[in-house]
Amino acid sequence: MAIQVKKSPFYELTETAILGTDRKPLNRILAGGDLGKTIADLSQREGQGENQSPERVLIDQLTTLSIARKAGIHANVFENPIAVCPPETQPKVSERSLALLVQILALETKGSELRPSKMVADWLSYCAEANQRVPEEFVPRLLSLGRNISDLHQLIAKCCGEHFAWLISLNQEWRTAYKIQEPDQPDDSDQIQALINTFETADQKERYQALLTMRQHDAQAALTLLSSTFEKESFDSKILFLKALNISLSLSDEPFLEDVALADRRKEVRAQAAAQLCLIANSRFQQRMIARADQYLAYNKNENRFAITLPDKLEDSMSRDGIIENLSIDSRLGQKATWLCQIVSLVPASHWQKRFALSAKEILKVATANSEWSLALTLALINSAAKFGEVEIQQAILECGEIHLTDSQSGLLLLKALPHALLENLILQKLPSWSRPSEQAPRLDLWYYLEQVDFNWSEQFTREIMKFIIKECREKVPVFGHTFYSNASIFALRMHISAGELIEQIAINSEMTDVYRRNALERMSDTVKLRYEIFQSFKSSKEIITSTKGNRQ
Amino acid sequence: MSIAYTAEQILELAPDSSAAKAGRDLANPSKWKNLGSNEQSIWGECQGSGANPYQTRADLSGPAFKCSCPSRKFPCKHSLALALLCSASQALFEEKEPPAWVSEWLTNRGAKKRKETNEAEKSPEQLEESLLAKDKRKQDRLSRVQTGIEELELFISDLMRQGIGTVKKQPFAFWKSRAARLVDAQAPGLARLVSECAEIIARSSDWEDALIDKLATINLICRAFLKLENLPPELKADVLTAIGFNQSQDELLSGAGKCLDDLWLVVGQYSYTQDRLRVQRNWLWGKGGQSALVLGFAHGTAPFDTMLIPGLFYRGELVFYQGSLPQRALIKSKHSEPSIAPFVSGLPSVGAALSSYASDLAKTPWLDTVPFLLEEVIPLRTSGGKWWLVDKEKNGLPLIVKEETGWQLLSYAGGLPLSLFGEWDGTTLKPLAAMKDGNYLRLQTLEV
Repeated sequence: MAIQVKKSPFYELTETAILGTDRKPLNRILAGGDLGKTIADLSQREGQGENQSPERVLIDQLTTLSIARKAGIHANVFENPIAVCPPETQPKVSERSLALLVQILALETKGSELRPSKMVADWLSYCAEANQRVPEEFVPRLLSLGRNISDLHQLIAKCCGEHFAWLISLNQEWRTAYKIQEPDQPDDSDQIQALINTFETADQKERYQALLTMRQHDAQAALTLLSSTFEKESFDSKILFLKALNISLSLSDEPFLEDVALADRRKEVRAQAAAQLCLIANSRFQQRMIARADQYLAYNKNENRFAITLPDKLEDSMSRDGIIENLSIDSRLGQKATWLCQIVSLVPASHWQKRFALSAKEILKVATANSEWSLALTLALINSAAKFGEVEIQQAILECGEIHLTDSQSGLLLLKALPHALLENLILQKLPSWSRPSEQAPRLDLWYYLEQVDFNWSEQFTREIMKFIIKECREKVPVFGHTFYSNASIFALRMHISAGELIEQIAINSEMTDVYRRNALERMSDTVKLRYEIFQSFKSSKEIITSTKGNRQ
Repeated sequence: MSIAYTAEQILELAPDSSAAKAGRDLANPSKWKNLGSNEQSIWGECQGSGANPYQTRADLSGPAFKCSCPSRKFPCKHSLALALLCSASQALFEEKEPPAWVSEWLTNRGAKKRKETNEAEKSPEQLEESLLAKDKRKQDRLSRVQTGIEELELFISDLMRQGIGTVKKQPFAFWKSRAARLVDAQAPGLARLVSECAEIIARSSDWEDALIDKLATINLICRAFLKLENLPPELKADVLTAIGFNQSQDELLSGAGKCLDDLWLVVGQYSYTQDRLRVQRNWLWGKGGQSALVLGFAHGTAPFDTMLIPGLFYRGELVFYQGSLPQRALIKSKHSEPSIAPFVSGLPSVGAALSSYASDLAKTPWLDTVPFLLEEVIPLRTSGGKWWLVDKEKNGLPLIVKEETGWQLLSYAGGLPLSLFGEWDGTTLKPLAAMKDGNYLRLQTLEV
């Protein structure tokens, strides 16, 4: 008996197919409509009567249904068109420059040690300088690459033309990542409110960034914001957020640092506050610390040595001022020596020069002279030189042959704090001595120095280092160590672009039996060449544009 | 030497990224000597680590390469570097008589081609004998296929009885063993379709409809096979091809297949691995509007037997496989014409594309994919993150695309119409290339 079916043939047949004919017997009469009729007609024509099994009929009808569905598919209708990207005004980069970008981006996927983001930054800098843009099909790739690298944001914005803003408006993730600040709108109340909101609601990293930005725009407002939440922060957040105050640090920060941060129950927070308070000229803290240092450190002119008198136990006032009782500075230092080191570190070296009427060199000489306190005093003076940036003491330390900056954490801090020109001078002065045959040469700190300090090498410095490498390769003096091997590509990225003019002079050949050395030199050479090629590609395209403009005129 | 490829086109031929990088590094005139060229080829010698320099030569009309280096990669870094050098500066290649090692290679290539063409020439007795043997082999196979199909129909009937809702819990082997039986029955085409059922079921959602469609396709092919003798020759060829019968390339080239001489644009290309065999799908679009699918195959790291560069034109003859909707083709002859900008003569609207698909489906109802070359369409992304292609009548087709490719396509269009080429499978369009202002952009597919 025929059963009246109300469902559509599609629903009816699919349901039966899913449940199976055992559980849901097939209705041989399907719903009306064109499709149902067609399926029924076809079944009749194919002789699918009662003699056919229901399974056979079902799969045949499903087959008809499937084809009907495919053949009868309708397009979706879109009423709201997509916004059109404004026309581009910048010219596209040359094919050669583009090929180099493709090459760099391919390095990214291979996880190369070349740090493609730095190479991309190089490429983008030249592109921005030439006022050219990447072809539009490459813009999304760059936006994705630079999403988490804020240093690239401005460059990407400059090199992606109108497509930058257009694409960002269509992608929430990019919109969040690329918060390009408008430098000419620092007082925009909406922007300040947005920063406050971020500081109050976001994660630690974003809060720190918001605080930094606010500090750059309005130092006092940032201090007020930090004060409002400081007590409730975790100790690591307190330390991180205090660092934001290093921007525009002044006497107006003293009350907060002195009364709140320096009174914190965690010694790490107090130490951070102390490190910042000592940088505020004429702060109460600095005066206290100088008075304390004067009390413990005296100069015996006759014996030409420093006399040290330290208390038997750490006084409460010292502890309050951020001096830590058991601080691990150097395994060779005893407990009291670490107190002395911490105190003297917080006093500018110029104070001792004035007080003892000695030059920075003389102070260093007395400090390094053999005594039980010499190591503590030397480290303290290095710390002080790093912290206060006083050139005279820095120079004295660099010229002192007995101090190896790479031996201690303090030395590394000073290296990083040194003005780059000073560091370059120091290295250039020492280069001739490092070129001597190995048994007579002083310890080769060159590569350690360069490994520690991430900065862009000046042209002169780059040329001298390149000449040094070329000379050492020719004369086969083994001046390359593991530090060079593992940093060769990174050095190549820091070099001035003029290195490309000299790179061919590095003789890398199969005669080099030291595989590590050869590989390192090859990596360095490849990187320098690639950077130089990028530079050349933009230089030549600029020349072409200039000459074209000239011809037109 | 009139043919000039761009560096990008040459690097498309690199077997991997390290070969491409090495090729780029070697593309330096200082590393080469005795560079030369003639009408057909370029050559040069590159000093490697061995005592003698490597002799590298390229026939740019193919392109085809040969190098005396021991590298197993093809084309090797020297071949790529030679072509890159030529792309950067043709002036480096002085036109002269080729040395013996180049002319011999060119002569051998010509001879090989002639031999391939002449192989089919046999005596009448040999021909008759081989035809009889072939016919017998075919009958034996048809009988095995019939047995396999009868078993498959029983299997499908069981599925219908138990319900496809139950197969979600079945292991992969449930389908794989069925596919293996079809391979034994010499029906590899059906075996592939059955294997695809396992992949459909592995999806988290919307698998029921897709499985029904796949089973419907299988059923249709089975039913058509059982009525094979009553079908017209083209449809018969379609059925046999769907089951996995190969059409002899020699026979096709010697006249059995329809031959078409045209200017062909390599409009789409992608590759994937199937049963440890790398398959490359090359879509060609003729100036006369005919599309063609040229398949390339390779094992492991071996090069594909067909070397076609996407976005490039080739003038030549294609021979189409027999069928009611000739699509797959073989290259009979080709010469590169790289300097022409990609032309566009595709379908004017989404509606026209869907109508064309419906009429194709009427000819070959088990059609897997069809090529769509759509003009004046705009890619867009909905707020839900879905990708679409919309024509000027506001009709849209859904795209199946990698997220990064979708953004690349969107950026390339900039909200303005472009031409897009892709494969339509009945529900989604897989974009393979976009064209605008005479430029061609190859798009990465999910398979890459």
